[in-house]
Amino acid sequence: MENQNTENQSDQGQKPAEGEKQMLPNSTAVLVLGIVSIVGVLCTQGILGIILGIIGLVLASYPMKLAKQNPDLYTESSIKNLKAGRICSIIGVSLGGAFLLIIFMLILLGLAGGFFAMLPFLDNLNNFNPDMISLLPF
Amino acid sequence: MREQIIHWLENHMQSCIYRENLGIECLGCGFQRSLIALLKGNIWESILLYPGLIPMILLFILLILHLVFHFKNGAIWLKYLFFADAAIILINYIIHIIH
Repeated sequence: MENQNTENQSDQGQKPAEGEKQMLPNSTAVLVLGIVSIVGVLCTQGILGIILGIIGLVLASYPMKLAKQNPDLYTESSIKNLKAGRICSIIGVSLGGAFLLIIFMLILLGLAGGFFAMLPFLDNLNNFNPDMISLLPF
Repeated sequence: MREQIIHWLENHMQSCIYRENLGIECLGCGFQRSLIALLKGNIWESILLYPGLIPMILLFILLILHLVFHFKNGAIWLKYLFFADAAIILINYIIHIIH
């Protein structure tokens, strides 16, 4: 009896019937995370969107390997869910990342501009002349 | 009930740190005003304030329906709607920055 059972199980593992296909792990979670990430980008100025999108990408990495190794084992809808969710997370991360990158570049540009605006008021780079502070335009 | 929600939302608006400190609008600026306008029933005003809101609501309705009913091509439709929504938000943001 035991032998028969194990044979049956191994048969199921190799060639599952149409109704016995499994859902890919995390496929629904990845889809939801990917779509919620865009709201995170909008409502928290990019930060929460990047976090959610990266969680989605990390969760998607292992099931993507499984789906590439043997796609016959898993239901077609869960594979579609996983791929759509992964692409949505990529877009969420790139939107939030691009926005934050632009903002940080602008802040750096402003700091550099402030530094160069100070330069004429320095006697030389090592001595700051405190009498000139009242001449600053701000 | 709806008026209470609108009143609460109007009194609890979250301000954008970038707009306050840098003077640059962020990707989500206009979202709350647009939502309040939509709750009041002014669909056109909502679209003018933030065109990405209505596709996003459709996206979430479709997501919940897809999770409940398991449509055959639901994930693909969700993906395309997501692309469209992201494109609308980006184009709207670029137009806002230029003007």
